[in-house]
Amino acid sequence: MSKADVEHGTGMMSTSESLNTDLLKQLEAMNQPEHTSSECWSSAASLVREASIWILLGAVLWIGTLLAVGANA
Amino acid sequence: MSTSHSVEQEALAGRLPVLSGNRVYKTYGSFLWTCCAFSAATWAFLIGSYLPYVGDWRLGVMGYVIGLIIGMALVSLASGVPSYKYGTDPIDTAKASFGYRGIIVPLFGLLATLIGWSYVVEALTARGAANVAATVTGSQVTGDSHEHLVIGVALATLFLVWFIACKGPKFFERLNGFIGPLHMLITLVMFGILVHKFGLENLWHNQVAPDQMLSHDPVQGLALAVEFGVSNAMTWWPVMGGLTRLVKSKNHVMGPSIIGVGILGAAVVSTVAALAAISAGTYDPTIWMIAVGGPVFGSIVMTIVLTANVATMVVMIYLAGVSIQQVKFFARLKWELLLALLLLPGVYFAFETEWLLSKVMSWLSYNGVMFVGISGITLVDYFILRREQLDAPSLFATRNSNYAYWGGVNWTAVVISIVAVIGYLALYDPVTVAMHQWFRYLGASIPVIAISGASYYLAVRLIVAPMGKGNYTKGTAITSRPTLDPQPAPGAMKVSL
Repeated sequence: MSKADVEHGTGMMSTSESLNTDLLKQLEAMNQPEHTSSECWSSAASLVREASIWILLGAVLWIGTLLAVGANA
Repeated sequence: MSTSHSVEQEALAGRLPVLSGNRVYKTYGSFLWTCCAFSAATWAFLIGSYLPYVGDWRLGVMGYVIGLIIGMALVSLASGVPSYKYGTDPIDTAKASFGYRGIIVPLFGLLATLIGWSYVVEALTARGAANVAATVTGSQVTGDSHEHLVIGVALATLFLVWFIACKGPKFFERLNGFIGPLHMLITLVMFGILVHKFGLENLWHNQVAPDQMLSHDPVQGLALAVEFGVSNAMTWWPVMGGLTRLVKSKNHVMGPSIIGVGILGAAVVSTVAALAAISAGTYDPTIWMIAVGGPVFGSIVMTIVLTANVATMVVMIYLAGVSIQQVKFFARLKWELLLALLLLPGVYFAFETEWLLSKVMSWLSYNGVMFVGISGITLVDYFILRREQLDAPSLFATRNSNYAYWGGVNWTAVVISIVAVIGYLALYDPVTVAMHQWFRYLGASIPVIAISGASYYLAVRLIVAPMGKGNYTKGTAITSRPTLDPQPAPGAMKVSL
């Protein structure tokens, strides 16, 4: 996979400008509707809820196991 | 090659933000199986072998699952979610809390984790393959010819990893779609073989000898197993952001991370290893699988298991290759050459696999410790202090960055990260297994993550924000306009890689 469409016969990028130009393009594109209207840009509330449910599940399993251990002791 | 295609390729092989349209993981299954294939290397067998020593293998497995679920949920939030939104590497997103120079702290941890574990997996693969060959042929597992085989397999593994990693994440996304399910199938087969050989009743009741147990207190034993899980999950801080920046849909971030990494890749494989460690006398599947399953079937199974290690190494080297480009020299190297440089020390370690497994493994026990404080800080910074709003151009800027802090370093984050390591070790030392009396209630990672996050919140509110550092006082939705102009206009920010 090539890292940029610049000459790199010696193994080094010919200029750092080409990399920086591509960075500028990507950062500008990040503010375009194609990205800002995508799921990536929307609130992470649903991810936080999902993670909280998993953490709650872990906590319930932990407490349940402790109760089971206590009952068998 | 079109320019847009080239930029997409460059983003996937470098630090450029990966935009929504360029994301590689477009289905739940594709990300799930990559997470699973990555997690289910032979290290999962090694970790699983420790679980019975908490006092009861059933408590060990249950605690490990609990720890992985809680830990992976926290790490996916702290590292995965910001990188998912901005398409940036976790080290770039960490600049918001650590500063553009302060990220040397998480970067060091990331490279130590990814490169260190890559060489360990290389050694496990090479010695495992040689063990299989020796067991099948009935030869000794010592001597020159055996060692030559180890070296040969190690070098071949390195070449294969380099070759696949050069193809980029799109290629290994497709590859992991086969390796992940196959590895799970093989693990179930191994479990079936153990049940057939020893019987379900024996497997359920057998335990390690009492004098070998690390704890005889079930509450402490459970806390120890939970800690194994949480601290293992902490080592995924450098990984999750690197992978979620390639995920397209929000619904595919959390579930595959927890199920793929935590449950399928780690817990299921480690359970089989725990059972084998007690009943078959060794966790090492390269030995018991052939002894129990026979030379032909055992060799086929083990070849698949060891081949899956290559998938793990590929993802680790890919992520390390992206993150090391924080150093300008590496950002300007060809991708193929950069990967070769990262793998080069592996050639030396191919000749020192035994030393590597005996010495480096102990050091890597401290691996999760490095990310406990970092996880707490990045979690609180992104969700509570910044309310999910970063200034993307500032992640690629230096002196004029909103995240410049004090000469590029947010010392409060650095100090809290270091104190977190000290606090963790005071509660629990993963090498000596010395535990503080409070350890039996919540382990070490969970309280240290909570205290680190709370400390960082207070430090920002009381010190950083009042001093006008870190863009905490300017509102939460400021976005600078990126520019390459060395004299940026007001509101613009000079960016560079």
